[in-house]
Amino acid sequence: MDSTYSIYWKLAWKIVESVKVPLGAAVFICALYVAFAYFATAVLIVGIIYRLARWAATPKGPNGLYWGLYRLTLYPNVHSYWKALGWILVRMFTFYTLLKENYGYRSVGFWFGLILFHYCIWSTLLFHGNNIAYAVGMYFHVPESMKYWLGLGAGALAFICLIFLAIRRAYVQAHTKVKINYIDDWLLIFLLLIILGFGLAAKITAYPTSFTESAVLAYVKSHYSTGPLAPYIHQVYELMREYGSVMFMLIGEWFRGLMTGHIMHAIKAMYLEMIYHPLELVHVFFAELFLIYIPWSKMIHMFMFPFNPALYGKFEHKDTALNLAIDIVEGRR
Amino acid sequence: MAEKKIPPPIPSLKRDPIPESPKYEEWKKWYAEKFPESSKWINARKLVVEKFLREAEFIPGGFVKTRDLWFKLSPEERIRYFINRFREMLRNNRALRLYLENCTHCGYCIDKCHMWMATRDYHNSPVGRADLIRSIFKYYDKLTGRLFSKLVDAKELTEQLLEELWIYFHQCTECRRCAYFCPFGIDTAEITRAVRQIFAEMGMVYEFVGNTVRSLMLTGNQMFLNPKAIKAVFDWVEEELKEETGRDIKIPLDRPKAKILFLPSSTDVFTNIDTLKGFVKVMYALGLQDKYTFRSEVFEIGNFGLFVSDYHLMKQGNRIVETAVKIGAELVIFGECGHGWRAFKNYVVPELEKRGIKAIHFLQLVAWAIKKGKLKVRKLDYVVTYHDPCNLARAGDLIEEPRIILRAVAKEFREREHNKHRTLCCGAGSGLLGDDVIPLRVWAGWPSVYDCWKTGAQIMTTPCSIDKAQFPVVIEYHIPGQLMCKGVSDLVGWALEL
Repeated sequence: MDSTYSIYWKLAWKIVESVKVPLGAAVFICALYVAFAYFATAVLIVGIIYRLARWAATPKGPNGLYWGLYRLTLYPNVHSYWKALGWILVRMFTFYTLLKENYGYRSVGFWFGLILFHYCIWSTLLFHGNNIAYAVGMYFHVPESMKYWLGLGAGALAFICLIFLAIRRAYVQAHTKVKINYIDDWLLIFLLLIILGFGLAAKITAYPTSFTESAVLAYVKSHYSTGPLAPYIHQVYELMREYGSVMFMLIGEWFRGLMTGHIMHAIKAMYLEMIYHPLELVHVFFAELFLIYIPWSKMIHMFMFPFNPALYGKFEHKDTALNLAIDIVEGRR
Repeated sequence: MAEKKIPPPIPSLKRDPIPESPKYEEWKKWYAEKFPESSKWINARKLVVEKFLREAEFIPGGFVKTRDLWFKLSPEERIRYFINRFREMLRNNRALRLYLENCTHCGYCIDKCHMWMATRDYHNSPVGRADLIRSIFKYYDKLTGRLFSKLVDAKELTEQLLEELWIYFHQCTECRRCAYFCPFGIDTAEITRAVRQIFAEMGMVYEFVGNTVRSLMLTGNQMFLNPKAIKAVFDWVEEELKEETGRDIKIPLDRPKAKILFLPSSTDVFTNIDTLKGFVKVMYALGLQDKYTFRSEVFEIGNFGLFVSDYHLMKQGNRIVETAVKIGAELVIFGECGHGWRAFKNYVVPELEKRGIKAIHFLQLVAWAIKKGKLKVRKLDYVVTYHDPCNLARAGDLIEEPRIILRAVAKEFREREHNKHRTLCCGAGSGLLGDDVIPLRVWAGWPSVYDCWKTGAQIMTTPCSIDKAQFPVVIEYHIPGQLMCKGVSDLVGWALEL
């Protein structure tokens, strides 16, 4: 670990540790942001393993066939496992089938909204990964302005795309008169909108308007000059320059407490978030709910591809048969 | 007099082909009179004759696992059987479980389905159809389905729901167009096959399919042909060929030993004689006349088992394998058929390969022979277009070969708009060829016919027997006399210079 970074990391721990948390707040945070966080993570991991194991344990069908077929091929000229995998991965990462023309129409808007939404969601999750990295002392330094604009941009685009996709859902149902929207579909969309919305709002309020020294200083003075962090205002300024925002640092400390088993530390970090960045608590709570919901809902679709039937079965080679036919025609056999 | 209800307004599509038919207005009136209350269209007739079912091998203790046949079961027993078997399938069929669990209801498949195009019926779209069984899946397999059934659209199986499952899963033509467009590749045809298999196990099969499977089980072909009948047609075709070409072209039947086993569609000795002529002329021209044979016990490349059950599919497939081994064949040539190619390629070919026998599609051989100059063909004075049969284009690996052939034999070959993987279904796939469903067929097949008609071609070609039975009906209804439907081998036969 870089020595400068190590100093900041230790400093953050020390500041959080020094906070006194009232009993009521401690119980509340312990229930929703410690016990429930562990529970949500456990449900997510166990649930996904259960679902994947269930798929893996389900045989192809009687006699090892898909109702009498060795393969459920969908694309032509797929004569190897790797080619089948290639088709699936290309479809997964490009959504190219949405761009295929049908009755003179290509669903460009749908494709664009969907691909942008997925890439933005994955980007924001990747950015959140830096929080986990922070917790284990492997923080990847990103300039604060980049951190702000990239995170905000990806989150905002995902939010906008989600609204567009939700409107499209309603439109498709109204237009085609085919019911495709059920409560569980709307629940997922609602959860995502809440998570994204509060995440964005928390982010906007946790950063200064610009990243000049005076702006950051002014922000620190206006936000952290009262409350438990007031005695550490100079250190808070230093930490803001390092991590971009106190909110990021505190979430990192929360993860750090949870991952190392220092529950009181996690409670203290979340208590500081509650005081200075309450919107973040809503974001985290709904994210925990979402984690629980993932394995039991259609969100499991992201884990489907390794079990795609197109990947399994006997791959035939038509050229060898043609060569035999040629040999017979040309009298070599 | 009670006021007649008009059909529900048809949601428009961009460049909707349905109103393009000259018959559209007439059909709307007919629909309003025929189906004033319902959007379910047609309740495909059920097959419930015990002798019939036994001959088709839908028999208790054998293939059928239920205690008795469908028509003898009480409604409660039907429901219980369906649920138990469905849950068993979920435990034993990964594809079914995956497809039911992973749909996100994006609705992208809806307007890709010709059945939805034709009926604009909620449950006749891929997602709507699959949701019928998915709602049962949620109720019986998921805790949330039991606890919050109304919220998540989980439904207990009732007689009415069972009836809807029967109707709508017998109106899916298993063309897999939805699967090709689906971002996850969810194959509704496989869900359809599962549901149909349960019905078949209860002895409940759509009449046309049941008839065909009965013939397949009794005779090895789907047209109740016996060897004498086949021989009689062959003799007549030989005479015709003699008149046409002046050559003594023999059509070998039931040779005890041959290097090549040729599998035609049984309809090639009925309505598609030109296809048969194309086959035998090519085999003659390539000097294979003494090396191949047709066999009366497997005078069929169609395999309606694909639409009924794995038992029937494999039984017919195994017959082909056994016959090929018996006559010492090194190569099996597959004639013109769409769905049969799917069953053949994905079951029979691997089984043949286990025994050291290779298999090839006739069009692969012809395309090679034309490219290499082994066949002399003239340009026919026709403008032709090509309908890609679903099971040849989507994963059948036969996309370029027919085009190579048609470019060689026709004055002009015109590609239609929806071709190759995006091809449109004929509207009669999965055995939906009965006369009772003609009102449905003529509209389900119209988008494809319209696509071909738009090219201005005189002939729409297709190497599929179901297509060749279906399209003339569709053409006759919408645009009589304006388009001809023929097999690719028919044109090869016409163009071949011997």
